Amino acid sequence: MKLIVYAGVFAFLMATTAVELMTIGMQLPRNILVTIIMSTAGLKAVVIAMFFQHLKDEPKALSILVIIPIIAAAALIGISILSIQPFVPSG
Amino acid sequence: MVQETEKPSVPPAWSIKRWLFTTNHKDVGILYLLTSVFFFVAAGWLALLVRTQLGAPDNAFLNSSAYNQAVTVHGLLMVLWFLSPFAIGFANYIVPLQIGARDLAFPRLNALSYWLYFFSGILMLMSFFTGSAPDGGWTLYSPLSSQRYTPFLGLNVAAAGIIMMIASITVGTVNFIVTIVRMRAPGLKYKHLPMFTWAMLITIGMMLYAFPSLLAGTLILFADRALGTLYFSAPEGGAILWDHLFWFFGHPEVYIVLFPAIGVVGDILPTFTRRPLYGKKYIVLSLVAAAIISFVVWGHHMFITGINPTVMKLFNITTVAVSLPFDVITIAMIETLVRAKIRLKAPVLFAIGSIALFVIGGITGVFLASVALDFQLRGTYWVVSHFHYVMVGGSAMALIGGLYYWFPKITGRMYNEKLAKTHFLLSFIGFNVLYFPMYLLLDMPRRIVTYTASTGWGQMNLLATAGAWIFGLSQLLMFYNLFVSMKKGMPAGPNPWQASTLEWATSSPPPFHNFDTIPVISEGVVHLTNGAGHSAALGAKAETEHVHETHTSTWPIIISAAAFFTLLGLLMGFPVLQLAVAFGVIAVYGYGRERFTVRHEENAESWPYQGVENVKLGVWIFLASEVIFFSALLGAYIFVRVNSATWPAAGQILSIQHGAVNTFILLTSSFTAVLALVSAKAGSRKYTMLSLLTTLVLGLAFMLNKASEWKELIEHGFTFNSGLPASSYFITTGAHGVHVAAGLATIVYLIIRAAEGRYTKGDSGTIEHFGLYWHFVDIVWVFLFPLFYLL
Amino acid sequence: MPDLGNNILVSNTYETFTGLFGTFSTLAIIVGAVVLGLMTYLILRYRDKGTSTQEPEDAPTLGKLPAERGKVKTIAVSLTLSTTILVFLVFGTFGALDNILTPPKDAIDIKVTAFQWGWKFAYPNGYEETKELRVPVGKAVRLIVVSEDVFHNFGIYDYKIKIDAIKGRTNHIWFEAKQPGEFTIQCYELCGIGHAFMKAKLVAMEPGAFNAWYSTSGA
Ligand code: HEM
Ligand SMILES: [Cu+2]
Ligand SMILES: [Cu+2]
Repeated sequence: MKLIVYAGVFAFLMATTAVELMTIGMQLPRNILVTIIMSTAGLKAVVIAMFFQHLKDEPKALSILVIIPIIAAAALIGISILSIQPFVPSG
Repeated sequence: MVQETEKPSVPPAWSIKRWLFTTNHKDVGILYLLTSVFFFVAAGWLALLVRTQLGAPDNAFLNSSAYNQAVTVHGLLMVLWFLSPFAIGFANYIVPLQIGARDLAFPRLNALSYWLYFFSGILMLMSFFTGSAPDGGWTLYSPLSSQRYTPFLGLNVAAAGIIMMIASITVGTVNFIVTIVRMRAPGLKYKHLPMFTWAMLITIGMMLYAFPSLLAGTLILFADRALGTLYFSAPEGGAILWDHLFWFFGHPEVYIVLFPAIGVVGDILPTFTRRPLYGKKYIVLSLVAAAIISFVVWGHHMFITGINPTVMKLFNITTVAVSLPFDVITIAMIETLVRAKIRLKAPVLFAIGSIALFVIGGITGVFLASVALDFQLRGTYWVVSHFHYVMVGGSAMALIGGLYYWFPKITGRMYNEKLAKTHFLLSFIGFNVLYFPMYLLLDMPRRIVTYTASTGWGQMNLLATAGAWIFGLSQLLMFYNLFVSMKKGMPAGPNPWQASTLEWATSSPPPFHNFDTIPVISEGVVHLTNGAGHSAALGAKAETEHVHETHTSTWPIIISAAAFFTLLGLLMGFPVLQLAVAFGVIAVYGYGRERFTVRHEENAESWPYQGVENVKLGVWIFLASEVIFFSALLGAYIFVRVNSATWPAAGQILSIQHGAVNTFILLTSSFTAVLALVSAKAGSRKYTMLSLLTTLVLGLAFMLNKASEWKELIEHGFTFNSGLPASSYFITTGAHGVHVAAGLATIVYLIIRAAEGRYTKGDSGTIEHFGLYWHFVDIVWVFLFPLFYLL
Repeated sequence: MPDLGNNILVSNTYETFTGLFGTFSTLAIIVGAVVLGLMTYLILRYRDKGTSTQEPEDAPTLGKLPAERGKVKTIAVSLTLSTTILVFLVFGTFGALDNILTPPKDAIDIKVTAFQWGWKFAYPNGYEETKELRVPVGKAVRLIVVSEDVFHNFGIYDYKIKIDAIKGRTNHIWFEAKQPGEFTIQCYELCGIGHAFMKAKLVAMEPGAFNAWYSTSGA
């Protein structure tokens, strides 16, 4: 891959980090803030994986290897959070 | 293809050196089998103590403390140190043979797996001599497992043992996946893989994604106990958090111990019924389906913890759904018997027996899947009976069948059939006398040291205890039989059972290099030909010349010993810790520099990873497990945070500035790591070194900044034990920091090697692999930073 | 049949459990008998009696990959059958579950606190005690179950009902006693060395007797 692409990716990562830092100063409603910040983090992760770790150029099977645990982890985190909603039966 | 001049050949089988330093898959397989059998005996002995205590009401043979330790260690040893490693022992020995490979992809890593396992077992056993062995049940429920309620060093030592065991498993998963995926003999497609290899591939896949969750849980437990963090003892969901982390691992784990057994049965059945396995395709699909679903059923162990009813129902449905694939598997196996010609030898008796017991265990599992019934059955002997039917009946019995099945291959001699049949009969009867009465004890709580006569449970318990002794003693027949037959049995010949899979196509025991020429499969026929195209007789013992690989290494055992002392050092402090770490660094360095040649077959089947060479694939597999590990850590943090009524706002305690600076540093270091790769590829030693050096400096800066941040926080009273915000912060950033430190050590190594002129002559692979890891550590921080500092 | 007590209807939860358990058991025994029976039959029928050396046509042969065999139909039929059974059981379960989770509006609330190693029962009138839990026959009782220390599990074995007691969480379970009598309450989650002895007594009393006792107890 060309050096310029790497440099671009690097610049992008720095910029998005700056955006993250700016966002928290903006007094946004909490759920919007969380969504923005976590999506940005996700985006950064994807960019690093695709370009720095070259997943873009590797067989898809390699990406699948790491996508599976992401889904599994999402299940773990998601369901465990759902499960704690306090339950008080009527009566 | 690597061709190096010969090293002195392997030490002979009678020398101790051979067994300490071997890296050959068959040797390591034997080591695994022997060690796991040792743990089987140890854990079995504990079980007999437990059963003896329960044989009569109001018995005082064991006191509560001894009983609880026996029950707990029995469970831990059987599940983690016997069943899985026993299966892995077979996998070591058999899988390379079945796929026509000469060894595993990374023989030294394989030895490392074994020695980590070996030392982890020592840690586990040591716990008996350090106050008290774990005594809170193999599930290690919190907060009973916290320092406050279990104030013994023993549990810390045991937790260290579990951590080391998981390290062994992780190394093993990398090795087996790469081997099965990329080293199959030419023409050996997935659809041709024998059932055992298939089952192992799926098992290993589950291990890869399940164990990191236990690792995260055990590390937190260890930190809670040794450093005073308060995750699991926190009323803000701590106990439930452990449940989630444990059972997210725990349910896949029960399939992890089962699937190899299904594989063994799947290989034994066709051999002895003289018919191909019925619906093998559907069996494999079912295993895959069950493996996937097994990751979303864990909540059935938490039905009555007061979880949300919708989630309860969801888990009820997934649990019921996961029994369907098993239905397919059993039906297919039973269908195999139709119009067969069943030779009722010991292996197939065990195989069929295990199917029968599994049917009973599976059906009673469906009762437990019913959340309404679980409001009664939870925590009773019904559960105990259920999981022993599946784990001992379904799994251990089949694996014992496998032992008889492959014994001739491994030793070259036949066992005594009569004794083996007697063994089967006694253990099958003993098993049912032992466990069936437990179904009738569906009111009796598990894990109680005794009960009063007025409960009326005495008779059934007495029966169970009698069964336990029959079952236990019957195993002696096997040991005697195998021990004597090893020396005196009839020579077996290459294929005593007229089996069809490749391990039988070579002599018994197979030569060091397995096959004189790698088999080639085409049009449904296996050709064992040498380069000239001349067909060698199947199983003939020809000592043709072959490329010599390295078969021994001193480092795996040394690294494992260092890891062992490091973990002990964490509990004992200075100077053990420092010495052990230094020792470990030297050992890993020595490992890295050792010349170790492995032969790669160029034309091996490797779909779908053709272009991805072994080490790179290995690194990715490892990272896949790390994804679960860090997700579990972050998930734990999110979980307790959602459960807490209050949490410090962003910027209130953790300095956003510190975090942001470290983010910029780490991102930059990723960039310089990429530059190192680019320079290495371009052949510039100067720029390779320079980029590596910059990466090193940046990494150090990150660590220094982190250290000063920790110091400041601790000085301001934000300490390990000052509450959940602090505990979660220190554990998560600590785990990340350890990863950074490991990366830095690697960079130092890379710099030394680069200075020696490596990496710039088309051999930049190592730098790339390091980069994959380093970027991953960076990605983790990309999530850690906002989660802890910004939100 | 497993020990289901003396077949006297002691509580509504007992009724719910035994009903559902009976359904499960009946089906389990049928399915189990069919499968194991079939296996036994096939083994006896097709065992190698040593009468001929003739092998099945597709017998495994070294050096030959085994033929694929197996009909989707067989698999599909058995899958459909078991799915039907399982769906039926799930519906039964969910019906019973709603019953288990939903106490009547007028239930008496009693707070149960688990500790190492015993139980504390606190009544609405402020009365507390640790040895016995007294309840009236014919009236719904809702237990509010918490723990002071480790993970415990509150179970009444003749009532076939239990619930975890976890520090930091408040769990609920309810039942209605149908017969006067004494029953055993026991802990069902390993909670340390006193676990096996973490018991108490449940006393189901005639409403009159209960009211008399209740009005003279506590506050
Ligand atoms: C037909 C498939 C199966 C179903 C529906 C099923 C269902 C269940 C359920 C619902 C529980 C939780 C019971 C409770 O604690 O209240 C359970 C416990 C357990 N099952 Fe299964 N199971 C199945 C197969 C297996 C298999 C194949 C294994 C292992 C080889 C296994 C091993 C276990 C173990 C070890 C436990 C108890 C863990 C503990 O609490 O210590 N099960 N099973
Ligand atoms: Cu489970
Ligand atoms: Cu208890």
